[in-house]
Amino acid sequence: MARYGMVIDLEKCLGCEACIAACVEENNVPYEKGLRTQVHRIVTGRFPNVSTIYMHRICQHCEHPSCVTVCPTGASFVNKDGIVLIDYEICIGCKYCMVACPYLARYIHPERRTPDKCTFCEHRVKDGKLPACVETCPANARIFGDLDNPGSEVAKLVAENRAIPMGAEYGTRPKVFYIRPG
Amino acid sequence: MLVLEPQHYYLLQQPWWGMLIALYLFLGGLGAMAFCTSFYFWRRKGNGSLVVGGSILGLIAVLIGTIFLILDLGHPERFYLVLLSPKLNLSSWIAIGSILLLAFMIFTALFVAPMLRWFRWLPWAKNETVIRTFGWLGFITGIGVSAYTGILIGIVFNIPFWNAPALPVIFMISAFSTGLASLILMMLFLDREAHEIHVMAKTDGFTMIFELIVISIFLLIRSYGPVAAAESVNTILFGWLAPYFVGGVLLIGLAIPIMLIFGYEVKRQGVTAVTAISAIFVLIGGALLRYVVLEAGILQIPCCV
Repeated sequence: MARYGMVIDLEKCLGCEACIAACVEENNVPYEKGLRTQVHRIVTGRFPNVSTIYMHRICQHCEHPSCVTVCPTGASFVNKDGIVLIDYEICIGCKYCMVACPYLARYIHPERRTPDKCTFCEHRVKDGKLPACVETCPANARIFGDLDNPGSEVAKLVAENRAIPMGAEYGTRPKVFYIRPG
Repeated sequence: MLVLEPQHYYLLQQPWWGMLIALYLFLGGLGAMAFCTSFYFWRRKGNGSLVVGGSILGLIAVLIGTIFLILDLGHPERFYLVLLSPKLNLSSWIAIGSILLLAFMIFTALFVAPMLRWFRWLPWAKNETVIRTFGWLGFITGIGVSAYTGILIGIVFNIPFWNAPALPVIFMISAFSTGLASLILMMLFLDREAHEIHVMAKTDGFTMIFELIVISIFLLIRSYGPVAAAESVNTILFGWLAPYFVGGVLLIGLAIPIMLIFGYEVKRQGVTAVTAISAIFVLIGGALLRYVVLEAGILQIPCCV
């Protein structure tokens, strides 16, 4: 019983997209058809005071996930570690979860013909390993851990309010947090 | 490269639900309200062919709509899981809607079957109380089906254009209007002397005036809503959906039928081509309304922290 979460440090991210490559390789993600993790380059400010940040988009593993609320068959569910997962065997592909997700975290997997999304590499995490993207990141921009364990780095960053959620106005209580570049 | 400001939103037209779902929303509402109207005329001891034909029409329309819904699935062969999944989520509006659809089809079939020649052997064929009970159950689930089509997309909070209480109301009014139009067309084939045709045409006219008012207020309020909702209103009034909405829904689907019904239909005796044309226009407008609303569903996605 854990409550896994992730902190993404946008100040450290170089935009190298190694996390995408690691995820594609680890999770059999069809690179051309959809991605479980995306890195968007965002330019802020007005000339000459402009800066670039690399915004990471993954499933936010919300505590009140609207994809799970709307799923008719229970194929979208939250496991005991707070990870939002899809049971591909009982998914009928109605795409209600894709419409309802405010983070655009899902894509249609062309072979399974069901939605697919980030699983926090649940198959690795249950063996005590880190998610593939976290292990790969050369800048250590992605930090993974148990939010219920006050000693973990993610819990500290969230408690100090250094890491904040995206789109908090939707009230789904995401478990992915971001550190804004200074 | 994406050039964006933080605290802005990605505005993305939802690409997942298209023509098939639009046809389902149209046929589901139409069929449910066609049955409810037929049941009303049955209670009033109205025209027999209207009652029987309308009930069968409603049942078949909802059945075809449900088939479209199943065809839209990524795994159509697993459709039964929507009712029989081991982890069935009864708070999902697709699960609730599927139960309503199934119950509606069962109750309307049980209601109308004893009125047909081939099913006179049914044990409740002579028992009016049982038929009335099935009728009422079909009526209630029919109201549920027509309301559910709007609720299904109305609860999606990240598409603010849909997430409005007036949307299910518009869909229900349109369902009633298209249900009446389908009954009028059917009666032109079955029994064009029936006085119910004029009652339904006049009712349809008043319903459409009400629908026009509710749609206008809905668009006005939504244009002051979140950015994505304002963008949706902009798209259907001035953007690429304007020919479908302004031309198809407002003009062909509402304004012309209202003018035809109150200009010609109510002033003349007997059925004219105007009756048929206005009913066909109402059906085209009703189908386009569902299509436009689905296509105008613009997601409001937070893009940065």
